[in-house]
Amino acid sequence: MHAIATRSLTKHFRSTWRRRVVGLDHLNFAVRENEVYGLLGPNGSGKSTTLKLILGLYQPSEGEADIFGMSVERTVSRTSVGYLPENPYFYRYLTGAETVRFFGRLCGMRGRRLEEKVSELLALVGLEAHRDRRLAGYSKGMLQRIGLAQALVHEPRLLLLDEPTAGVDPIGSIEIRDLILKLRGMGKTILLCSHLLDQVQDVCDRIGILHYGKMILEGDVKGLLARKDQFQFTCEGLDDPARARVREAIRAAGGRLISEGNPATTLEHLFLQSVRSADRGKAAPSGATRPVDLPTAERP
Amino acid sequence: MKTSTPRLGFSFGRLWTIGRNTMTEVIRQKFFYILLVFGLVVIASSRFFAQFSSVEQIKFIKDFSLAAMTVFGALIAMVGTAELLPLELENRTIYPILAKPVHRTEFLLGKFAGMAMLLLLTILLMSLIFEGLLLSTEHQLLASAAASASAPGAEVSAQEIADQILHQTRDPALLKAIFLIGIKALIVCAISLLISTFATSVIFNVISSVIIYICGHLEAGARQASLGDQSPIVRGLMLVVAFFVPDLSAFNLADAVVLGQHIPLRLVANTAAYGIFYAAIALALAILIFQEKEI
Ligand SMILES: Nc1ncnc2c1ncn2[C@@H]1O[C@H](COP(=O)(O)OP(=O)(O)O)[C@@H](O)[C@H]1O
Ligand SMILES: [Mg+2]
Repeated sequence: MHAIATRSLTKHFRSTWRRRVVGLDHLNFAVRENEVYGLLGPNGSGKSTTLKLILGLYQPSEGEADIFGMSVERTVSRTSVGYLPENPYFYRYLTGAETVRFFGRLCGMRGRRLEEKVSELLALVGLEAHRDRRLAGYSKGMLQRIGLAQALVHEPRLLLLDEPTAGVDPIGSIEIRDLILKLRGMGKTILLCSHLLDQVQDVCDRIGILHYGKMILEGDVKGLLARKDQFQFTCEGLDDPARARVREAIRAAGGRLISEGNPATTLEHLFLQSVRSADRGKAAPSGATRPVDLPTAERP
Repeated sequence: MKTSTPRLGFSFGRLWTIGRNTMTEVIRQKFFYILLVFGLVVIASSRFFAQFSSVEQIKFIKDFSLAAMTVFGALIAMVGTAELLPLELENRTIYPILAKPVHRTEFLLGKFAGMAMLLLLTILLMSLIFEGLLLSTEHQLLASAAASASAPGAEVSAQEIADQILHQTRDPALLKAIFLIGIKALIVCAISLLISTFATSVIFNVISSVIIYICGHLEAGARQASLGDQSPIVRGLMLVVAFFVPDLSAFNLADAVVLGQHIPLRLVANTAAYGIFYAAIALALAILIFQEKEI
């Protein structure tokens, strides 16, 4: 049984002047259990529309969708899915803990079990220090993280994440990526929408690319990205004569050298390194609201 | 695989989670404070307007306060309810809620329940101020009545005046009047919620509610006036209005209370049942529309 399956899922919107806008065009796709599926595509390609159809927030114009074999028309299908909306907004007057508690109550939880769940989730997303602060004072990254916490409150097997790192700075964005990896480790099935491609590359098992509401490419991330006809070494400690001997060996073995040079570090890597070493110097930048302990994750 | 189909029944727990949050939400809005404080001040001020003879003074306070409770109850119901759904949609706070195993009916009725509870609390608070005012006036008037009646040559005995005063202040009909004011506020709330399921504009909603409210009060009078009219157009029109607009003047017991008339419990119960029926119809329509609404 698939975690998500859609058949000819289609959504038209009526815009001004009664023009029809195609939000999604006969989409057939499936997400397997325990995989992380990246739904990619430019803005307006239909990613958010797909998620809202799967959650029953929109009615399809045509076609149908299932969650774990159950039609999404039935409200009960939502017991096994957690949703992080795009640019999530929650009640600004509630604190972090109150927000998670509210959604927990909506899922029928109460008492000790609910309180434990609230603390556990706030710890998981790294917001214990801000649990009693109102969301009105939260940064975008913190809102995304509280959004993840509320999405997880009823322990769903499936998560739908809509642009979880949109508008979040690089450090926050890495924290969220690590969280997603952690959730994957916990055995959750995840459907992740994004247009930030290198992030998706680190996290997803499979991807699909949407364009004007149509799936134009789908497949395994490693399979899609690997160039099987080429191979790359990255070495250390070779001087000029040694490099010349390597070039010679490649030629002798019948290969063709395509490129060489110093590998460029990514800007993201450079940014994280500088921020971390600056933080090691002093306790915390004055006025900083972010906790000092930055994530230790490096790019693989 | 599928041995049993899981079901998700209607849950009052979820409904009330939404309702409680709705109360918090409305209490935090400026309009609510302004209307509430203004309403309380208006009720309290009736004490200073009234410069009549003893019993007349109490009658004035009652008439004035009940009118103020009706108007401010209705205003808070209209403005507060009109904003409930548009705010949820505009701030997109509704998405994560309906993405949970929550029926749309529970959401909508939860919004209504929260607003209704707030209205009842508001009316209760206004009633307490009103009652305090009555008791303090009663105390003062009894004292002065005793003083003037004990003067030589008084025409009525102190006992008679005191009886008149107490008949006005300790009148159980007051509770009946306040009860129907509460029911009327709930009708307004339900109608406004119904309008907000299809109208996106808050202003449009408030204006429509005000028009329906005014029509609801004129309806009975217009029916009386058109009784002699044999024109089928006029009579048809009256029927249509009577169908869509509840007869809100039926909920107004202030005149009877001031005149000291006996108000049969039966009448109060029937009127309340009529009001609840009307509100239930409006809510049922609201649910039907909201189920299909593209959010
Ligand atoms: N509620 C709506 N009303 C009208 N058009 C919409 C609505 N939601 C989405 N669309 C349109 O559907 C298309 C897909 O939008 P969306 O799913 O939000 O894209 P993405 O999430 O990939 O950026 C866009 O052309 C968008 O304008
Ligand atoms: Mg989107």
